[in-house]
Amino acid sequence: MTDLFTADVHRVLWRPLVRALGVSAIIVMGCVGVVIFFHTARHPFHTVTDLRGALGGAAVPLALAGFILGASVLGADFASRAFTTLLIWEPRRQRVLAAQAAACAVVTAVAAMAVLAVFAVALLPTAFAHGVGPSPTGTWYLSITALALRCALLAAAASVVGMSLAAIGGSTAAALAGAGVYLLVIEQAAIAAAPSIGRWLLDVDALSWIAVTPRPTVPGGHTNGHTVVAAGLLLLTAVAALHALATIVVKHRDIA
Amino acid sequence: MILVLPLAVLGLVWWFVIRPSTKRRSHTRPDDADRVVAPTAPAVRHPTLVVGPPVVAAVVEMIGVSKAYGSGDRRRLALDHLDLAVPEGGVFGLLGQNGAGKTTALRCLMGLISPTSGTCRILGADSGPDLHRVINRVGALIETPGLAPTLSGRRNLALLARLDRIGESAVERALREAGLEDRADDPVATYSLGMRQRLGIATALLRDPEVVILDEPANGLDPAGIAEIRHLLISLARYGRTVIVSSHLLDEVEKTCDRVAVIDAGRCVAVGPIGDVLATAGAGTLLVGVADLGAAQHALAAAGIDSTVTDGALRVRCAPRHAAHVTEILAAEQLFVSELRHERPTLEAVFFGLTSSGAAQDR
Repeated sequence: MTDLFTADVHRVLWRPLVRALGVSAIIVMGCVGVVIFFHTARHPFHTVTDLRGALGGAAVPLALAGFILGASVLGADFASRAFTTLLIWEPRRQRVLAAQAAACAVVTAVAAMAVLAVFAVALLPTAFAHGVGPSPTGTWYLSITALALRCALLAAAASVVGMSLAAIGGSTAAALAGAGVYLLVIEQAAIAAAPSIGRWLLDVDALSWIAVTPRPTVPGGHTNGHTVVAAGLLLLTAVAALHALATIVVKHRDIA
Repeated sequence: MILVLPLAVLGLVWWFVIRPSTKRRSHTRPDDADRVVAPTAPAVRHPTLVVGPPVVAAVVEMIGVSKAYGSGDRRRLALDHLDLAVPEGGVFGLLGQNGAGKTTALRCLMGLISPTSGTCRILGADSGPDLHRVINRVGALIETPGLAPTLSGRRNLALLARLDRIGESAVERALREAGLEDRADDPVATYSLGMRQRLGIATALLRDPEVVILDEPANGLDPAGIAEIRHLLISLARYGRTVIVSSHLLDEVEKTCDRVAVIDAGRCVAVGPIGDVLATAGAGTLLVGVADLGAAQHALAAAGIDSTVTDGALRVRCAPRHAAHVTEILAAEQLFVSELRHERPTLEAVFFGLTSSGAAQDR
């Protein structure tokens, strides 16, 4: 299993899309840092709150990138028949899928941490030159590290979701369509039908997971979101269930 | 509500994906790995021409394997109660026209698709749940090789080798055997079709397997490449490997294989040592060169010997030992033979005689 995981990590890292996503993310974060530097020349930059908000704001694009990475890894394997070759070497499909999910998650999490580190470094000149308010304390550094970790874990979870949807649908396009249908149709319909359901929806729980404040108000405005821990557990359960479903589907599917 | 949606999805997956598969799997027979297997089993609905002695101790078996796609009016049988038994050692050819079911049969063997009914075994292990027990003794190339296009050939092989903790030397050996040493460090995306095929063959040989399964290995290769692959397959068999190769290239199968199974419309219509399969077409023909073909044919017919005039020559359907008698009949009619040659039956003739493509040709 570890051999399968190691080989999958190498294959994920060698994909042009993965490298392009990584390089693009680092360039974008650097550019955003420069823009914030010039923007804060005229507007105050509250070091403690704004730095944490900026890092938290990076979680959504990172999760999106993680989703695309996960979906494309398995989608490309299906399209190039590399998945078939893998099955000829390791016929236990649940192992192959678990190793790919683990590889996607680890690569995405490490890449997300690296991108957030670059972003933090890009914001340092702003903090030093234009920062106002109280100085960061040890507790703040701990909370910012925990936030970065949560962002990285969210991106990793998104990559597993992308991979699982690609496994169920059989292609990258199916994964993207599935995510679109869930976010734009199912979630919206659920909120319209019963606003109190909002706190149980995945994107709301994702926001709760990276929330600066523990219990944000959710769409519909009636209820509060889950706590960070509860949201994390719900996301973990959803990701595990989706991966299990993907494993069942792939295990019973004819592979060309 | 939040629970209803996942449950509904699970229900749909169960109904459309899992349930049909479990129904299909329930048709498989109980394990009987130690049984001596003859190529024909009682369950076969269609007669198979079996020549030569029955196979004992088969390394690869397919017993009553059927595979259906679609349902209702659109149901199509890709495999129809296919029975095969491949003995240890030698090159076994699966011969059939495009769409006959060769690749489907190999996919079933490698556990890539589930048969609708029947059992597939490799080295005694069921191709479904037990294949992982013997997979490190099997190398396979099914259709076109599926590899990471952005990685080099060597890198692709190295990543596969890592799965089995195979050393670098095995990668180099496989590249050498497949004739890919010179381009091993180039990305696979830059490879020609023939080079990709060679790389696929290298992946099949990487484990130094006991059983090598190659689906149309000559696809995309030039004549020199085809000859190289032919020599490779023969040398693998010489060193004790069992090689199963599917092909529609009759000439290549005839040159390479020790045994052959002719597949037509998902059924095995003939199986046995290639010499015995060829012998089923009879002793062959005598090609007779003579100035007046019509008179010669008439003279032979009067003597009760069948002959045909094709491609400007007279072909007499009889064994070589009757050549003297034929020349005697013709000489008696003042028809003197300028050429006399025995034409042995070809696999092509046998193939067309056994398969539906032959019937189509006749029409």
